[in-house]
Amino acid sequence: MFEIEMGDDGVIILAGRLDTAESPKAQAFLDSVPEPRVLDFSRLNYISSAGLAVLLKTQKHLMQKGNAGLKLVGVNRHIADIFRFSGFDRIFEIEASNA
Amino acid sequence: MASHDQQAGITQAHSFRRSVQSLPAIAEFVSRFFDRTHVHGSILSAVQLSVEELFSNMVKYNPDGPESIFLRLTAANGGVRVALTDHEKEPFDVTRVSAADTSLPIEARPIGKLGIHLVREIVDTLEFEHDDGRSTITFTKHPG
Repeated sequence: MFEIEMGDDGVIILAGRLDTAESPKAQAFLDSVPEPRVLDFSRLNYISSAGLAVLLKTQKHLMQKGNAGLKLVGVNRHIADIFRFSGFDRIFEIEASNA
Repeated sequence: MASHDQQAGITQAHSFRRSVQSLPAIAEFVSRFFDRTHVHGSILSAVQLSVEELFSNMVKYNPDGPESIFLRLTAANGGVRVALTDHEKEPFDVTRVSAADTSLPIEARPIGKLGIHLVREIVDTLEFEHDDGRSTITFTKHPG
């Protein structure tokens, strides 16, 4: 199960599991937001390469437009490892979860 | 006193429909196996991710294959051995896929092509065999 929504303060909240089947939903949502900035991962417990592709595509689009890139906050340890394995820790601003 | 030692040698297997819509059921299957065999929960997400990446590849690159893909889990040596089997005319050996260059700047990063890379980073061993039209990818993962 995966959910993505806009929080009251403009932070985009992701929850559940961002797997291959759910990645189109995530991409469609991010494509609909004019200038996404902060993504809250604190309720997301899983991401696969399809989810990484969504993030990368969005980041590329933002940078091509000259916008600030995405900031990913509340990232749990497992997802932080995935970001490190994929080199995403070098191309995204990431804040680990305090949990 | 109840023992929580891993129940080595226990195997569970299931055939899953060739579709990414099977992924939640696959994740649940893996989770229940861990519960049953007491394989350490620290590697659950890693195993689920590796299974998803390999299964999704089979769905994507062998769309005309049989209706289902076979998944077998075995508790072994404190961890788990996982085998996915598919019928394919042209074998695709995932162990021969070239490594992704994760040091590239964002402008040069291709979209996608990270699934097998992640599996290689995560698992302890990865093997491929093809015999009589059946391809089997086997990986192992242990805690620590």
